[in-house]
Amino acid sequence: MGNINLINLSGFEIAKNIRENLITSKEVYQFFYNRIKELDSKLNSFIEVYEEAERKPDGDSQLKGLPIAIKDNICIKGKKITCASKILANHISVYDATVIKKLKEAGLKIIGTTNMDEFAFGSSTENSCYFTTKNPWNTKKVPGGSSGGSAAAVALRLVPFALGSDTGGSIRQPASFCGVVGFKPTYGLVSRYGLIAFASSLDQIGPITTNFIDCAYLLNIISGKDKNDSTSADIEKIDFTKYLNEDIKGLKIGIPKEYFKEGLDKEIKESLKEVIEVFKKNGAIILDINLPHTEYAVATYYILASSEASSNLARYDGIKYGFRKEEDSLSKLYTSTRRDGFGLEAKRRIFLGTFSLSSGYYDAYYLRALKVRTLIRLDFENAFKEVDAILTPTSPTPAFDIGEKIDDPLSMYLSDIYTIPANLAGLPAVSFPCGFTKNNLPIGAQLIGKEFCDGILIRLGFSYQCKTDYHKRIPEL
Amino acid sequence: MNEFDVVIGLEVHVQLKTKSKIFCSCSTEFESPPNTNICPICCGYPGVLPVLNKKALELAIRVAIALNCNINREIYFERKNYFYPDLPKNYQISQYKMPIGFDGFLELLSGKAIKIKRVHLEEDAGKLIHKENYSLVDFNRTGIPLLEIVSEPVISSPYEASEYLNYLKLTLQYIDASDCDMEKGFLRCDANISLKPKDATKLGTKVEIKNMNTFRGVVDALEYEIKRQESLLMNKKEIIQETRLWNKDLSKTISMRTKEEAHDYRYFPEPDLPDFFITDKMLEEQKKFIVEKPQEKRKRFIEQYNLSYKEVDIMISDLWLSNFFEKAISFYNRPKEISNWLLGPFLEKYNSLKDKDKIKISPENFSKIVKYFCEDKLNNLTAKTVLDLCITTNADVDDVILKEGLSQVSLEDELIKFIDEIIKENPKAISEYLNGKKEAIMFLVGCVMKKTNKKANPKVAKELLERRINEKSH
Repeated sequence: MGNINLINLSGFEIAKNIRENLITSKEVYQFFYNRIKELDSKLNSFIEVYEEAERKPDGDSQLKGLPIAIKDNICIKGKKITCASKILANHISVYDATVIKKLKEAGLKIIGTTNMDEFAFGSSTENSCYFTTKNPWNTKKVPGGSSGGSAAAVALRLVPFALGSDTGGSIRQPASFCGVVGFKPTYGLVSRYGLIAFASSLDQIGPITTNFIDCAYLLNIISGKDKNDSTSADIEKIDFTKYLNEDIKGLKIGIPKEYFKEGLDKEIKESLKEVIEVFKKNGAIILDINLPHTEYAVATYYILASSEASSNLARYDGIKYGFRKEEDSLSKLYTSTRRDGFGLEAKRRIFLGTFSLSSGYYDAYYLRALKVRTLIRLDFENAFKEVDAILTPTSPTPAFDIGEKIDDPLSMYLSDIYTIPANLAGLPAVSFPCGFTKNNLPIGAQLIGKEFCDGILIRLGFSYQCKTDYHKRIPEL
Repeated sequence: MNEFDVVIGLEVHVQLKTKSKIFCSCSTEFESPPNTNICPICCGYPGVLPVLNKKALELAIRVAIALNCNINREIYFERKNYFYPDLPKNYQISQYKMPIGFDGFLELLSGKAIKIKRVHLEEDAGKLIHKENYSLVDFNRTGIPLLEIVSEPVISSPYEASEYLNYLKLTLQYIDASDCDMEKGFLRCDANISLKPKDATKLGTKVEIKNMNTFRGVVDALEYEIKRQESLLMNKKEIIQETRLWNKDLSKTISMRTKEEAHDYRYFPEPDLPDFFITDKMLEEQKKFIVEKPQEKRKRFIEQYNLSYKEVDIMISDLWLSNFFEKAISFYNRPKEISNWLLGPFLEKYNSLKDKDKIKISPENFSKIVKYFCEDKLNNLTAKTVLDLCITTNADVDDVILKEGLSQVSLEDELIKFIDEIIKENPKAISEYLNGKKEAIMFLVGCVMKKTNKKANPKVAKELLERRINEKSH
């Protein structure tokens, strides 16, 4: 493989080298496989790593021949997919998720599954039944979550890119903590078939990459209407890579004051000012906007997401697959299986959701939350009459210490305060690296776009990365 | 009994006649081996999503139209959450706030309209098979489309309940929405029943009865329950709001759970499915399948064809049979005779075949057999033989008669030589006849039939015999 230094290349560049026969796909796979074997013991980002498959993938794309890591909640046929939960311990998926089928058809190779908070419940990857993943920039810190394994692995270049899932920030928040690009597409742009559900009306699969070029190419592969997912949007296929060639002159970016109030870390606030300057220099127009219902987003989200989760997780009962605690009666089997199979946070959310949906409480909680969700959606609709995208911090703080918030769920929930609104409104949003704290922890900025205008985020993000090099920095362990 | 009004409401579940399940492409085949019509979707595997079978929605709309319902134009599904091993997701995708149809009715023969509260679409659960110290689950039935049809509590006797069920079943069969076979569980019925004093306006405490697996069972269970509640009320005892199971072997209802133990189903909108819009075009499309209702057909048959109630009730209980009847009389307009043959020998064969697809005879060919019988070209026996030969083949009746030589021998010239032989061979019977024992002639007719391979026209044979014997004796 000569002198090619794979960790400094984007996935797109590595794939180009493969196409030009400068390196083989097998060598690339082996390089990243060895890198995982060598370094991941310090991070614990992977749950399983696969030796290269005998059979070559048949498909083709601009990313053909590259390895990709998959969050442990996306089904891969014949592989152990567990949502990092004991209740699905040793569960082998019997089918490929639609995105996995599409990746295989595009000639990519699945290299392994990455760690996560159990059933994507969490913001730190500490709620995994296996182990806690560490932040590659500082192993005392969390990588964020719930797609912490995917974000940490990509940050350390253990793999060129990965897929995550985002229900309330689970792609973007770990991307910001680890200094990579994490994209949550518009709800319905990417099929959810085969994504093990957390909250069906909020979940989206998206790419975690080091840069916007790879992000655009991956979105091209995984997006599109799927007959197996009735909530996938029946829209014309978008070529996201075409947005890489467009400048951003005249694009209007809104700055919502509600996202810059107390609670936001000073260094992050300063860093965002610099981001605004870069966009200005590139020709964008900056406008102040209001998103007045922002303060209700976290409460609304925890009612709706937990309600859906309580129902989505009902199927894990020890009867059909996964973990079973043998007992001598049906009700005991149910309760023991679920008591021993689910972790603390999963149980907390099942309780919360079950309560919110219960007769007598439904109107006051679930129904009211649905109404507030509409108000939040309307906030964005109004804002997007004036602007093309909205710029905010991704998270109020940089990566926090492992163990710091695990016993304080409310403070943990608040770390998704800026990412949750985009899920509630079904909008595309991306976090990209925009600086470092004085303690050398990455800072992420978030762009939120109009429904199905995911391309504008690629356009803005790429223009930013053309002028900065935060995304090129690699942590040293 | 006279002191109380009986108030009954029925909740009926019918399986819709689709080839595949409601949210996946698995077959709905009834008699497959356990757990063969299953896939990750209907087994609730992690990560799967439901996709609505368009045909199930269409059939549901069709039924709602046939039951005179208002149709919600924007519908959505909800999740009904409860834990049970035959429900793989531990929630059932059903409809709650926005059923497909509401405020409909079904008319009884008396003219009374039984109001229908709602008609909604949902998925069926699987089947549990309990063994001595373990249980098995069969997911073949999981996800088969079900329609729940709920009547208002306006049925006032077990007899009315039975009539309602019968016409509901026929209505659904007529529009080809469901086979409604109760034996196979394609139609299931739960009942709510309460009693109130004659002059009271307020309804009494209701009891829900489940596990009535036949029409007979519904009637028996309701009759039992009326007696039970009546006796409680007469003795000034309280009726408890509860769910009771009908036990066929003990002929009584047994308490299953009380109101306090009732489930909280925590319904909420199914986030995996979008809202569905029922367009004018979809309604028009389904209206094409709405045929004459069984009650109307019954009335018309009685008036138009002058048949007995009994005959008409058999005829209309099977749309195929009544259509066959009307086609047959279009070729030979003798309704009474066609009906006799259809409900007699034809139905006997039809029932023994148990499959109407095996019946191949055309109404035209069938009408010809009846016509030839009426015109004395076939006698009772030969006509049955022809029917037997044609019913599963639709061979041309004329060809069969010719080939099998079944044409009735009624020409005197042909018969006379047989008759002379018979007279010669049976002197004893002749003399008995001549001595006044007139029954002896029937023995001789029998001999003629035997000699002609049953092809003789017995009436003609009798006349000829009498004439010939008399000629000879003079």
